[in-house]
Amino acid sequence: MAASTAAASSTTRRSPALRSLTSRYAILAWSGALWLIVWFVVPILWMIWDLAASQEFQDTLSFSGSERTVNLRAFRNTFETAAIVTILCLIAGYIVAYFLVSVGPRVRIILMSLVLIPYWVSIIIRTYGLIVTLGRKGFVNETLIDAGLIEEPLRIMFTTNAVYLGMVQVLLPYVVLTVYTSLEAIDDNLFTAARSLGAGGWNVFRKVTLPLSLPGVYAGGIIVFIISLGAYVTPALIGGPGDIMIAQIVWINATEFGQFGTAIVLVLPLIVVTLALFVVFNRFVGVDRMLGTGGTAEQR
Amino acid sequence: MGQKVFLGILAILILLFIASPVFVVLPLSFSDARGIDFPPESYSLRRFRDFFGATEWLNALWTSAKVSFFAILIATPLGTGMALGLVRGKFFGRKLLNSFVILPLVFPTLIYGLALLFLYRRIGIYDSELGLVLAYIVVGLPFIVLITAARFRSFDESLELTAMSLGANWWQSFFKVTLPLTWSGIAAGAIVAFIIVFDELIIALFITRIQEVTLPVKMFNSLDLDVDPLLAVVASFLIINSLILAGLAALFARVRHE
Repeated sequence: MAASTAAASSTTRRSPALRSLTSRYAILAWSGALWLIVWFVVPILWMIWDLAASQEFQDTLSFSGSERTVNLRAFRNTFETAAIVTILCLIAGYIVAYFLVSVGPRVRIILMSLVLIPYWVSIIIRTYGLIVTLGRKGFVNETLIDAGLIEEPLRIMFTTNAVYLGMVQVLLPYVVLTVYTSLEAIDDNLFTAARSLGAGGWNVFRKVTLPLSLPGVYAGGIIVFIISLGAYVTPALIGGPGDIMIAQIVWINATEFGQFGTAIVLVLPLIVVTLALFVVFNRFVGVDRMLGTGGTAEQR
Repeated sequence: MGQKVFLGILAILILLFIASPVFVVLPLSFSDARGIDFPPESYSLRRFRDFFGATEWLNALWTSAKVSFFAILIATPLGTGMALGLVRGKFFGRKLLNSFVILPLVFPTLIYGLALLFLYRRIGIYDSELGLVLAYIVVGLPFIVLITAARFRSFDESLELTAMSLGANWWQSFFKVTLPLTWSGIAAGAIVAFIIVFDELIIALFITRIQEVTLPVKMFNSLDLDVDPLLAVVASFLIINSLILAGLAALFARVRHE
């Protein structure tokens, strides 16, 4: 009797303690969230709210402003570039990830470091390296001329192709890492089973490998596409005069011309597309999964 | 078989393409010439000597280091608390917050930079170190939350509950049990966030003008206008710095306190 009373009183004593624990965790989590709301969500909403009424906003929205053609062109350019870069990254990234899974662990570490080292190095430095390699007097041109293969240096930098090349170079690690993660998670027995059922190499890939690696493909593709839409550094530094993208126009309008309204109209589609893709990403890949697994660099 | 060899060669070529820009910068910083000819014709330490006399570069380096340090100093406890709350707590909105905390990480910094420019001009912290610190707390926070949450998830909650059932209050249980067993994960998160914040360019381009130029902004301008020979030195320094820090973070992430 005494024992059961003690047990009962201990449960009644414990449950408020547990409840206060839960509320403490709620406070901890919400205080971080509150910080993000105040310094991240509010500035963005305020900016949109305040400028939605301005005249330049209306002008740009109806594309009646004087920079109409420039803005439209930047738009087309941006989405086109983002799409091309994403496709190129997915193809090249998949090949690398597929190869990484197929080699032994020792080779894999060396090759993986070739992906991870650039991953941790600033994009400006990598673009600088690209200029050094591919510029007029760069390594590639000098070598080709010395070898007598070409007479004049190839014009690679400051063209649209340079932008593709530069962005793919910077963004490839994301695809390699996401696809690699999902390829590595595939159970080897599935390949054995597919083969024993008579599937050839190509069919195994098409029916087993590819479908099971799709979450990684989607995740990598979405990340690359979102980053490409907001790309500034690569087009600004190694693009040609015709390769103006939204980011550059936004920057000039906001900082040089002081035309916030125009800048905001130009980023609105980016906001919508990013949020939409984020919801898709959340749904199909799962941020919870990202939060749950260990590791550091792999999750960036 | 031929197919496989072909795939392998292709993959290695792509890998070299990803990694090569990092590796051409290093020898360039030892070049004796002023240009960006690669490979350099002769080598010397001249550029390094020049770098330590270049106050503009050193000032930018100092600004970046200071701003990143203070941002991470604030973001680390904030992010660690948030991660702990998200992993341990069961409360209203937890699932939503789990996704919400990732948003600044995927959201284009272009738009965030624009919004901050708008805000900072109104509240008078445009082109200030405070403005940079406030922005970088937001940028660093998701990384800290992601990495420390992973650590808390693999940490046995019953240890905390045991400590509390033995009479420790929540603070004692956190500082005497949880923290000593998870600090390496928190350190890894802080280091990763520091690297990210230290390299951040776009937001800084928006919210600074002349006074508070960070190192990435100075590098970008140097590359945009005319290539300063010292850029190679700065780049090499940053590459080595990033790699050491990333290695340290990876090491910390792997530490298991048995």
